[in-house]
Amino acid sequence: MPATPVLELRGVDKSFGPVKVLHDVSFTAHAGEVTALVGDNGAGKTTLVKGIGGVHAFDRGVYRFDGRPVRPRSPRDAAALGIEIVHQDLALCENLDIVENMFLGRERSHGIALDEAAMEEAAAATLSRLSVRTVGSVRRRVSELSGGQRQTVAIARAALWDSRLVVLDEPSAALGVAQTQQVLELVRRLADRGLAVVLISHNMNDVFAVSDRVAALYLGRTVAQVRTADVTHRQVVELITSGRSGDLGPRA
Amino acid sequence: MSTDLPKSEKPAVKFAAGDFAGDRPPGDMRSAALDAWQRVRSGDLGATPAILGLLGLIVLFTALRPETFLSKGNIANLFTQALPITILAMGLVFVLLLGEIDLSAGVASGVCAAVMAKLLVDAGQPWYVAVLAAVAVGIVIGTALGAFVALVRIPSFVVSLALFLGLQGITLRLIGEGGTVPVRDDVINALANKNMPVGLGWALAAAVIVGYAATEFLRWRGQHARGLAARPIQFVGARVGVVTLAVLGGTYLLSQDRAPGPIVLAGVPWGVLLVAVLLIICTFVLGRTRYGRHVYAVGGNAEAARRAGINVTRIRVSVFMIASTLAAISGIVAASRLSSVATNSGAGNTLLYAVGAAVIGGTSLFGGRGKARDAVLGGLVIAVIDNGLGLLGTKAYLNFLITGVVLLLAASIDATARRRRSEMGR
Amino acid sequence: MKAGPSPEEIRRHNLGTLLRFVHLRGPASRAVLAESLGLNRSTIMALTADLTAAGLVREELPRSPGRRAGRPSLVVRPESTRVYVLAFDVGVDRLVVARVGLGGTVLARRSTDLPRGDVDPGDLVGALASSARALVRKAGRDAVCVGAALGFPGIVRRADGRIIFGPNIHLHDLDLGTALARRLGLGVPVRVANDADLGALAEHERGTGMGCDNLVYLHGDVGIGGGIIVGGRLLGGEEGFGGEIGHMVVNPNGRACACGARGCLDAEVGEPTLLDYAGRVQAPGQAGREAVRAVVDAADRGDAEAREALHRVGTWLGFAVANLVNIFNPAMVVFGGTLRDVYLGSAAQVRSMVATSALAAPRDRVKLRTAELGDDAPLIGAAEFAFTDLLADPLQVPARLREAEETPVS
Repeated sequence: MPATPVLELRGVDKSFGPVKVLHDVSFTAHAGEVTALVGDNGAGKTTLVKGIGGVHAFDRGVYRFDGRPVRPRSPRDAAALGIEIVHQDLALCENLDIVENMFLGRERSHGIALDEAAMEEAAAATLSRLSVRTVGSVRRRVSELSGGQRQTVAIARAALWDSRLVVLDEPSAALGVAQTQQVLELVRRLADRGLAVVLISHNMNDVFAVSDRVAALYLGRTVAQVRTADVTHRQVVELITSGRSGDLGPRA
Repeated sequence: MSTDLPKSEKPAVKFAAGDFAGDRPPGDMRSAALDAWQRVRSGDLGATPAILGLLGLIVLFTALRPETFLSKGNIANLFTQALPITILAMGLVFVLLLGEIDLSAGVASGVCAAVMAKLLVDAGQPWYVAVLAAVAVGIVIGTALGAFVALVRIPSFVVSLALFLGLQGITLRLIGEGGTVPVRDDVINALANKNMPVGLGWALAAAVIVGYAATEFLRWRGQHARGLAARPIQFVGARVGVVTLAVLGGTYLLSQDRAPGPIVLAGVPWGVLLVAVLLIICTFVLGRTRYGRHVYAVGGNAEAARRAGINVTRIRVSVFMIASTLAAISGIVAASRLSSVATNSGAGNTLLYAVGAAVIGGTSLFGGRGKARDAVLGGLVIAVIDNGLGLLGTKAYLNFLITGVVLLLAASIDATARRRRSEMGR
Repeated sequence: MKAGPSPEEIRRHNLGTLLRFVHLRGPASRAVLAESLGLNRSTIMALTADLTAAGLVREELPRSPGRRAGRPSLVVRPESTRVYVLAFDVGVDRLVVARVGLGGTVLARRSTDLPRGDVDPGDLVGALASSARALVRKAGRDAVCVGAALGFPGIVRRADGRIIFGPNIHLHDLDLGTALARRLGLGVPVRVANDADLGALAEHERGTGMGCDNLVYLHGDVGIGGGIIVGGRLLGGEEGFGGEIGHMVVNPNGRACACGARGCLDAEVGEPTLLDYAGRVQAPGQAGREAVRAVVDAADRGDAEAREALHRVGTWLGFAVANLVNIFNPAMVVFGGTLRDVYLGSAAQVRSMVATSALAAPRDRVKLRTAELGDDAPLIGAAEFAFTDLLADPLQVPARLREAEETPVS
């Protein structure tokens, strides 16, 4: 395991007006690992992810990326660092094709004309590197794709750039079983290719199937961050619902 | 079964065609045909309805008025009739791509034409100064409109409706109530009324065909050589064939002597060249540049575009600027055709004709889908209807009714196609 | 003491290594080959020339002229449409036959449903041979078959490929390979191996276990099979019967197994057990893997009975994985066939059992993964197995086949 985590948060606080959403949160994500972020609705997962992605800044605390303290102020800043966030609503343009979506906002050009061939090659190479064979031609429009295929495109887009950290917010919500499985395997391959992956999920089977570590949030606090190999289903569920489980969780 | 090979990243199993649709060899005729059918089924009709409609109308009017409709004079007339609508529609395509509307484009063209006419007649300025001033006024109108929509966040429908009223007042103020300002400048008048030499027409037609064919075939060869997704060569050939036929046919018809008397009147009107140039520029901008890609993206999903780092506000303002600029050019061409500017220039049904042209051509009212060529196809359809009904001598009320029905039909096709797309998606 | 290898042996070895490289890793330029294989460029050139003459590879310009820096160097590409093998996968309820080209491209495939239960060996050979012949007929005139191999879900003796016992396909003591080779008449032997062993091989060479030399592969079809790779080699034991993870006893008081014992992994997590727990009766004509997927699907939609079934099955699977982790300390455990779906549907349970039952040291680094090749792992493995002879001595096999062609078959 590399000594320096790709992402390291320590003592992070975030309030919206009088409401304190995150309180002294610590969180790490390592290269080559999937870190599952679990917690009940309202535990602060979304706020944490938005803070990581530069949508809003944390009020207090340490934010290190590759060991260096950083302070992304916008999604653009975060992307420049190598942080990609795949939101639940995917943010794809249905009227554009797969290649166009993957390069959206970061098109390659040749003078003033777009370099379509280079973009198509790079997109196809990324998809095949991730062993994605389920989307058909890379020139298919997103409107013709199924939910799982769209998710695949959104994830592959995050992997196209020299990203170091990919955060996936509930990627398997609203997908059928077969598609969920494909997406999970894709998530695993991202990490196997050396990226740090953060997976938010409510489904314990998904969490256990692909994650290397589990971080649990409870009422805005990190109650545990443990290796998945060391915990059981029951323990994780207890952490989510009551904030502690045996030795795990904050000492009262 | 020992493995002492250096481990490198690479291909797991490669699957042959049939296993996965994605790995089929590029340029396979059958799968391309399937793709095309799939697109049609999912509501992506492209230019097909417009082309079929155009051919149907031509056949209809030829059958009803065989001696006049296809006469050489009428064909040329038809083309020049279509010019201002087409140019106006081309600008509107940009606005419609964002799912917005510009109701003021018609009267903006009137204001710009009035500015030009006043400068030519009252101030005695040379034509190029007048034209530049008209275009500049167009840009200013578009910027104001775009700023209200993108920055103040008023729906474009409301802002452009306000401008529609306000700008009519400005035209009235400039030209004076009930008046007309004649345009006598030779250069301006030549635009819609003079023709290029027959030889030059043929030469330009040849250049267009060769250029188009070369771009298409070179692109195909590049895609093929690099193993990218390419349409089969037969498809490319068919497209080039259709365009060649259309260009050669049009040039042939316009190169006939159409004067009733002994003086020779033949050649492609200069205005057609103007539309061709605008078409090439707009097609390039929309299809091959980063800016064009961003326009489609904002029209498809503005939130996704914003997250991808696209400056959505700037794109919004810019399309209104483009629409008003092209409206200015359209106003100039209209002034040239009538050799005058009147208080009602660009008012009335001008705008609705242009929106109709874009929609009939295949541009979606819901944003995200459309091409510059839609304006040309739709503009021709509108001109054929207008011209044909004129030859039939139908009453004015019928003209309005029929044009309205055609517009409704096109919008219905658009809406149905959109519904099918969202149904097919999941 | 044995003298060092002769130049002829070295050359043969190098030819095999080069061919194996382009077969597994795809087309490569001479420069890449020289660097990866640690040979100088002139040796590479000579080897490539030999392989080209034998019709095994060809050199050509890379597909994409791409970045215009300098003259593109030639790429050595396997002749994937001209040199092929036949791969057979005998499942409990289906037969799959594929024509796989050098380089691992599946050129064509056919699958046939098989009725469950007693199978007449003659019918089986006939069905396999007729599918294979249909595939061979569609191959080009200049294409040559250089080998064949078959995966079977049962106990197979490694020395001669004899099928000793098939718990779910009722076959005993059968030399399927020889019988099939005779029916095919292509002049190549048909090697036979345990299907899960082949799956392990495939995942190791072309799937998720690429680069991982210690892995355990678990394959679910109707029963459960296993293949264990230790130090880059498939573990076989004295006669090649080893690695039968499906018959590891996990629950001494458990369900009766077709092998005669009680509480084998096969009996506790196999398809009939899962369907039984879930209260499902298999629809006639429905393939086993679809029935399993239907249970996982139902569990995901919230069906309590299906969830409970996966929970129970996951517990035993977790026990088995914990034992395997303790004994072999694998870097990776791969779930293939229907176990892929079962694992993904019960991962929380499986990993909870591993967390509580396996020793901390070997558990710490083990990766649990699903098979990248899915249901096809045994088939792809069979193809790799069939290429073994060619890759061991690339020039000899085509030469022998050419000779056979020239002397008319009596």
